[in-house]
Amino acid sequence: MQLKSFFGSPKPEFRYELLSTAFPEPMAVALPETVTLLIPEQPGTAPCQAIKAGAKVKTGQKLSWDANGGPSIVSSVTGTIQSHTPYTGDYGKKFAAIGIATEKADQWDESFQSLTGEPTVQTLIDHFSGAPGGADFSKLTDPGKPIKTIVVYGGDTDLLVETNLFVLKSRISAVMNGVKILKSATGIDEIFAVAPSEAFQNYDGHFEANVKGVPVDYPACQPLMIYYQLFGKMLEQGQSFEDTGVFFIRAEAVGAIGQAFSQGRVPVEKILTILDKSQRKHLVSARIGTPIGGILKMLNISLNDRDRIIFGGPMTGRAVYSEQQPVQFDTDAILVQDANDIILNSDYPCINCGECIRTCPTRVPVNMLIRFLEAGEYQDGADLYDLYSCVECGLCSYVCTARIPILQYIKLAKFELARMTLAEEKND
Amino acid sequence: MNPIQNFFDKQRKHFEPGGRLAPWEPFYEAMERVFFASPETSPQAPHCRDSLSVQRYMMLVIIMVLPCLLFGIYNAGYQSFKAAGQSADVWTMLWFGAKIVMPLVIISYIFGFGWEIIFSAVRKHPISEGVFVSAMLFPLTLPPTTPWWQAAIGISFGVVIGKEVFGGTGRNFLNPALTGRAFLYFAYPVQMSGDAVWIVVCQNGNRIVDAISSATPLAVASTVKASGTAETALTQAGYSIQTLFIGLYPDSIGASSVVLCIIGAVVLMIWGVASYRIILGDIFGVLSVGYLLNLLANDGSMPYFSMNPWYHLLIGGTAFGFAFMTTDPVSAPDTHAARWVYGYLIGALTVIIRVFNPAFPEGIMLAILFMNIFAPLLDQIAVKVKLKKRIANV
Repeated sequence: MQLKSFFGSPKPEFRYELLSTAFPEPMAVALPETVTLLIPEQPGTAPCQAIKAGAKVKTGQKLSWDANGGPSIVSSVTGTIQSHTPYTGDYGKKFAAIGIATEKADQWDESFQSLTGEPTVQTLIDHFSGAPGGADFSKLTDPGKPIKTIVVYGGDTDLLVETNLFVLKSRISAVMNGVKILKSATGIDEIFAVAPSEAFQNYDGHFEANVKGVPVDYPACQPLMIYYQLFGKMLEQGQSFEDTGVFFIRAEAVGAIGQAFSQGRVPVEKILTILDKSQRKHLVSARIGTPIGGILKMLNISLNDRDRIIFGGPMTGRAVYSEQQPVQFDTDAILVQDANDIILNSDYPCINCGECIRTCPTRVPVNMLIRFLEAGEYQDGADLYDLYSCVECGLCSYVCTARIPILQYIKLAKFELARMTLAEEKND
Repeated sequence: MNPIQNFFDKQRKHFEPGGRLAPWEPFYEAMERVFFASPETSPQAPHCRDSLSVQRYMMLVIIMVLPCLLFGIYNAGYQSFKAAGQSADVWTMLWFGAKIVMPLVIISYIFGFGWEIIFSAVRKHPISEGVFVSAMLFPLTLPPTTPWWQAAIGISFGVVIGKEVFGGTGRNFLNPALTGRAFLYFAYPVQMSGDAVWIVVCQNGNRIVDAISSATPLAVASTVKASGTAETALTQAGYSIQTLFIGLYPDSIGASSVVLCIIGAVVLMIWGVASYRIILGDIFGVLSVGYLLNLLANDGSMPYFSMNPWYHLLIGGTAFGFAFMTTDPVSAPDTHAARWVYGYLIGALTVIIRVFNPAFPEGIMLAILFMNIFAPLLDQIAVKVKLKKRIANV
């Protein structure tokens, strides 16, 4: 996909993990003493009766802050609710963090089982929004933005990470079942299954979906790149996939749906790739909400002062600040970097070397863009220098000779612009 | 253990926080990184290539300039012995050349680096390695007879006024080495131009204070009598195409050898350090304006008008400037389209300044500095044009 010019040919090229050999069973992480679950909502006055401190919860029970609906998640353990704390995620996203003291033996909440006969979108919204892989299923029901196409993507969104593709390849029957259920629940016929072509061959025809291969070079498996390859266009400023009638869902989430409907229980274990300090890979499976400290201890990864823990892969991951951070439904990988390996960002100015231009998969004039973003001129960056063509793959930051945190600048710019657009809409 | 590593390990403690030289830590770090890169490798695929930083990027340029420096050293010695009518073996000439050239290079590094360290220490910022390149390019553009104090003033002006006052490497809109060179050119024209500055006079292998007059190819070409042609005048003065190509003639220290500049430019283009758009634009510019002048030439005009345009690429500092000065990424435009135009205009201006303005026999320095100033404007136009072509968001 990437155009390669003769001049400047020594540019980096990366391939995704292809998992072409064996599928090792993920190592199971022991049930921790407490788990933390995040409900995507700003805690209001008081939580409803079901999640008051001291209330008992069962595995698989639907938890929401408000008794009358609202965002919900599924409890991954059986135990007693201990605490509620407000929690602020990336870019000011508000959550309510619920601490649960676990019990050894799982008691399953049976309310989901009765719903397995006839899959509906409401069931998906209620029980799968916090399931492994996760997806915002409420977008399927928005009457203003009807969804015409569902894209199931099986590639991982970062290098060295193999979580999503592992689920697709090792639990293929669950994914196939999930596709069927998605079809009958939503009534949408056009479903694409997209995976790196060399990793996923000969599945066409077995799948009740249109199987498409994408190149195995990073970042062809990013949703935005897939969108471009399938439909031949990019999103406009402020547009989301749903605005154009397309719903993206990870293969892992589809696998969870398939497994849940055949077993009657929503999966509560999340598969993660752990990359230790010497960049060796470990595939583990942990309850959602497990503090990452416990997982690292199990793998004998010791943490020292100034070491860095990163959620996500080496290209697009974000650093977290505590070992107590819980594994979430969308935590695909944890990368641990030794303090000595960390390459620091700098406040060097851009020297215009052109590495970012050569490596950019969407041909954004990064060198021009970054000058505007550094100066806080976000709207100019969007209007003149293709900010919204960026797929946030992080290659430009990786090759930057001046070590400018370009990806972070771009994410910040998009966030700030979205906030301004929202504020303007409110004022109108 | 490696003695160099040993040395650095021993000195490190002085530069660490609390050490007596702690404020000069940027200097230590920069020096250490000249010698050592990271030994890290990753145990499994994808193997990341080693990381390219500003410092290593600049080192690639220096590697390709070094042949020009070595040739310049040899050439300086060779010209001196030749002018004195003596013969000597290669090593004697190299040694004599080194005695001429190396002091200028060392002075350039001491002063260029000194200013950089002062500014880094004040800004509490690591040394930015652009100065390595500037301090190497600057002495190569000087005549061999340049007084040492002038070299010191020139590089100081180039680094401080050309770069540091704007915020250091990455924020300079002028090429620092050429800024210093231009300053000397206008401040001390006697030592920087004319026919008497290109050869250091030697007597029995010793440098003496005297001057030998020797016209450079540029001077020869610009002062041809109306009856002759520039090509024959050059050949008669001993500057055959072959000589001009290889570079064994009196000229600026490092700028005479076209062949080494071509090698340097090609390697830098393949590495992706130099922009091929700029270099090709440069060459188109020289050739097209050269041909245009050929067409305009009539019986009454100077023979310089009708000189074969390819000669413009061979004489003077054209090749050196195109390979190493116009491709400085910081002072060049940012967009691809603007780089073509930038290169083309540099080439065109070079020829125009040379031919129309006998007061400035060498046009490339002024052409590059002039276009440096216009680079942001070219970018602005390139972006405007691109936006006009864009389909409007409805």
